[in-house]
Amino acid sequence: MSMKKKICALLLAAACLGLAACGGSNGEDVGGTALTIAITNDENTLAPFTYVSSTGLTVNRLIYDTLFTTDLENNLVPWMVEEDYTVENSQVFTFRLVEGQTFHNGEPVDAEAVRFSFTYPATQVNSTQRRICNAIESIEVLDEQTIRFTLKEPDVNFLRDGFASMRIICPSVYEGVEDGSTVTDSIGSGMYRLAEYRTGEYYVLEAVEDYFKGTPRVDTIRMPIMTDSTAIQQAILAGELAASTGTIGMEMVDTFQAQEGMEVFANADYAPLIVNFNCGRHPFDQVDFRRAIACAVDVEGICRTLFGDYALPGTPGLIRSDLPYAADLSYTYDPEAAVALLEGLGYTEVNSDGIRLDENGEPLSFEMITYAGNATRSRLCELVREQLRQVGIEIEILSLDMDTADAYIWPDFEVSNGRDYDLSTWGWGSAAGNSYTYLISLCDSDYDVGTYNVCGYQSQRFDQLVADTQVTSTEEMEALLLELQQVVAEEVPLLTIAYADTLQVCNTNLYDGWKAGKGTNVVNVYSFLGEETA
Amino acid sequence: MKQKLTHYLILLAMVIVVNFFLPRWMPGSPVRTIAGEDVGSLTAEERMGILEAYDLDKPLYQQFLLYLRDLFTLNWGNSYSKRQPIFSLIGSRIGWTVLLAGGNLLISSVVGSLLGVYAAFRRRSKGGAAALVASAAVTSLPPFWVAMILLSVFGVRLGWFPLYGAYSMWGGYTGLAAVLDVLRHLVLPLATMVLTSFMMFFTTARYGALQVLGEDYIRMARMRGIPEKRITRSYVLRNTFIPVFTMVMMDAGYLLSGSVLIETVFSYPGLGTLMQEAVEARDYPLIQYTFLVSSVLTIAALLAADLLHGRVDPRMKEVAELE
Amino acid sequence: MSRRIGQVGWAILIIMAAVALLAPVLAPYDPYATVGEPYLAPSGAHLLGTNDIGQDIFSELLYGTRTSLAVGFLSAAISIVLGAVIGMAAGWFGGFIDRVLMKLTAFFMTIPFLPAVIILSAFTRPGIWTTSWILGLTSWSATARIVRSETMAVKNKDYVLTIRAMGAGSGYLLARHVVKEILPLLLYRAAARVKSGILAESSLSFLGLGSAVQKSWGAMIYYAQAKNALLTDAWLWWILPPGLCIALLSCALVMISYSAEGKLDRRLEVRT
Repeated sequence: MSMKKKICALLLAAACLGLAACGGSNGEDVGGTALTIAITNDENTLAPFTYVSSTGLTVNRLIYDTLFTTDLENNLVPWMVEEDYTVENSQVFTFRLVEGQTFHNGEPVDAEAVRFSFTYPATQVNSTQRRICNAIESIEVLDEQTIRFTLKEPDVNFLRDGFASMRIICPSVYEGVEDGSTVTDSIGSGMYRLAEYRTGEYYVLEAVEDYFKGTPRVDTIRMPIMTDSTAIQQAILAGELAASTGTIGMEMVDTFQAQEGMEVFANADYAPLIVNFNCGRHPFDQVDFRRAIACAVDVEGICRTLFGDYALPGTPGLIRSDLPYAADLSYTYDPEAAVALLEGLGYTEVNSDGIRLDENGEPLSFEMITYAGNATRSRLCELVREQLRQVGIEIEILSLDMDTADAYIWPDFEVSNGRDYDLSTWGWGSAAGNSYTYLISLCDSDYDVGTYNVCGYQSQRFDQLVADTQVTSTEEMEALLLELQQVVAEEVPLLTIAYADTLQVCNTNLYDGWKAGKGTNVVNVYSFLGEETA
Repeated sequence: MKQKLTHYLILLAMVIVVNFFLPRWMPGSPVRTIAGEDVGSLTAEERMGILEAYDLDKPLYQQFLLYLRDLFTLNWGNSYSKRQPIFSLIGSRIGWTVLLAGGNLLISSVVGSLLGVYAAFRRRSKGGAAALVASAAVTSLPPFWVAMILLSVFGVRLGWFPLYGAYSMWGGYTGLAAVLDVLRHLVLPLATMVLTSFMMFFTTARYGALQVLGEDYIRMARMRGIPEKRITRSYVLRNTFIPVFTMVMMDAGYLLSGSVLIETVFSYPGLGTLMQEAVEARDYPLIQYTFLVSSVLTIAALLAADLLHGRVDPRMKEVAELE
Repeated sequence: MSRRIGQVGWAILIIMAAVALLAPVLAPYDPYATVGEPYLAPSGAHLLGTNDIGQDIFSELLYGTRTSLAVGFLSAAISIVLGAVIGMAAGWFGGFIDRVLMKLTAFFMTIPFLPAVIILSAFTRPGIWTTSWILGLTSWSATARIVRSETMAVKNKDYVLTIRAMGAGSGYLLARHVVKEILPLLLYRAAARVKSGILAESSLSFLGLGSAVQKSWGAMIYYAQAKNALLTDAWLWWILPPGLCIALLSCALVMISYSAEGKLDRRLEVRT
């Protein structure tokens, strides 16, 4: 190296050091407490009509309140309404609003605002909350604080699916606006107001001091938008982030637990990991064939490999086994039984690779579609492929980007449009997973009821049970679900692999109020609520 | 000249057409983006309603005409997924991308060329060969790995540089402090990019220099006793400059595509991630216009390279005139 | 010196090719089978430990050599051959041919990569061939442009003009002299393409090119990254080995190019 170059290199190094030395960390100059929490997705203005993913729903719950909400045990509890609400026949609901609630612009939250919140989405082309509006027959404002909803039909799910989901919005912001998604003022009545948003960069939430449940414990929440999970975890380790809306893998639990000031939260979640069969396509149209696969796949083993201790293995009845209305069912791993079932179907001959031949002499070789960029799901496919190979079934894995995969599995998001796949991996959101109607919407072959029946599962027994049972109370619903689980367990339209826990890590030196519970994220209202009311 | 311009105009027309059809050939539809995650609970009419509201139910040729109209009237509208004007979305990102990718282009071409010329001059010595092999090794490390090592050493352990963002979002810096703040945020992503991408310039410059070094007139110059320094400056560097210049112009075309990986790791708000998000969301208008902007830059860079080529390389000029 | 470096390069390459061929013999385990607990550290039983689903990482590495070498070399071959042929034709013949080919080249340069990959991978079936073609087709244009301008320079060199004046045909000149002149350039570009092809496998796994379900160095890196190996000790035995293999291969190819360049152009071997 010549002298000149050495000098250049030295100068360069000096410049770097100089840069490094000047300026501090992201300023701590704001008065009061401030926390920096990464948000893993750009969710626009976090407005109720424009959320992108469940991350947006999580965060916008801090800005918008709902009449009901779930507590840390995932029980439904009244939030904006008083405890003395009445429900008649799961059809007529009368609520009295808790006094003293205001929107962030100072306007009062009254019965009229609630009525508006439940009618306005019906006028919105791109709102999935229309479903809630459409179920309502009429809304009566009884007085300023009291409101009565009458549904078109009794619905035991509505407290959760309707009243705990619909965000209460400020009428003066939306009144007369044709397309609500163009409104960028995120004005709700929740405990935080959106103070600043820069697209692709960050959000700043500020506490609402006179919030009706008490002043939030953290004054300012800053949320940089960060999508790379390794970088987020590095920043949490370095203390630059207090937490994130994202999750960590089970392989990281020990590493974080060994760190002083880090706490890992493992919360039960209601989103199952599923393997779907295309039940309309031969040979998956045969119950015995699907049963054979269920016997050949070691569900519990796969669950343990993928998630360690941080998951509940799936059951043939689909419903999470610790829910009160779950039937007592479990998978038995029995490759010999699988072979017997396959031979019973006449798939006795094998080719040179050890793959069984079907009635036309073609090998039993199928495609399994999975989502690119989701490492856990591709690993699930790999494990299933290995286990099915043992009984003479060949799987070819197709890893596709999300929309491409959905175009095969769920064309136009309309199950009556059919489907083009053999097997696929699948997962549903947490909100769906603890809803009473979950199993029915996944399995009923009347596609107006079974809106999520991506397996194309057709079972007279199942449909009959649903059609014949009048459900007006939760007891009746739970009794029906017990029977339905038996049917599904026998006919195997899908394999429920696991209910994985939500694993998150938080810095407890920066903030010690983190609370997490079933089906929630640490970024929830309970984490920031004043002690006395929490 | 006129022929050249028509060539690039035809190219531009092709790009405009492709940018309309490419996103629509991708499987999937923007409905999920427009309606949110609960898209499955929509009824068929509700889904139709969405398509109508966004003109997606019209025949393709009508959509194409609408696209042409919007394109030329500069009425680019809102993004499906971000629900904000596409102009301002691109505007808010473009500066950061130019800073990061442009900085990389500048530094890696200079560093790469200098190393390359050095390696050419010392071709037969250990130093030259070592520079070559070491450069090959460094540039073939997985970029995210380099990024993470830099992040964990200089960001987490030593705490010299910030871990995310393009500036201190809550720092409230102004003036010189703000400039320094931006530079501090730039160091790690830029270093990652340079370390993983300078090889192309290295080999090109080295090749260019070797070509000239073997030429008779250089040997003649040496024999005539012209000082080595002058040979380097007046012959070798000038001749090395041409291929490197071509490379730079070609890379400049890709400037606006940004670098998805590095932007993601360092949470840098550039165009690369915006494009990727647009593609993943099947956000047709955002895909169209972001890629269009990027393609237009590519074309401009190619055109500039063409026009300047004759000027920098006299040989090319002769060739051009002959034809 | 130049020769020794070349020999080292060839040795590395041949060893890697041998590993690829003999993977079933050399690998202690079936790389697709779960043979231990997940996330085991290296031990006598598992030289490089086990991955997130209990597969033997050392066996993965050996088997991965096959896919990675195949994808790397195939995609590089497609890219370089296309780029060289189109670039040489355009640069040599000029005129109409040049205009058409350069339009094509420029057009390919403006096609956005990401949507193109998603479309191609949606309508094709995954595999080494598909991956290689996609990578080759999306990367030849830069080579074509460079080759074109180099060809034009060679075309105007005195000795070429002389031979031409003596009546030598285009085919002869192209094959014999032009290729010889630009071969070092092509070799270095090919070395870079091989590396990019292998690395692309890990980045494309995020985009759905479907290669993540096949054992390769790129796929190993992808999973190691997805499972946070960089934040634990596991990076030492999970990411470092495939990363080093790629770097080593890259070095080997550059070494081979280095000695070839000396052989092709004797003048370079003269002390300057």
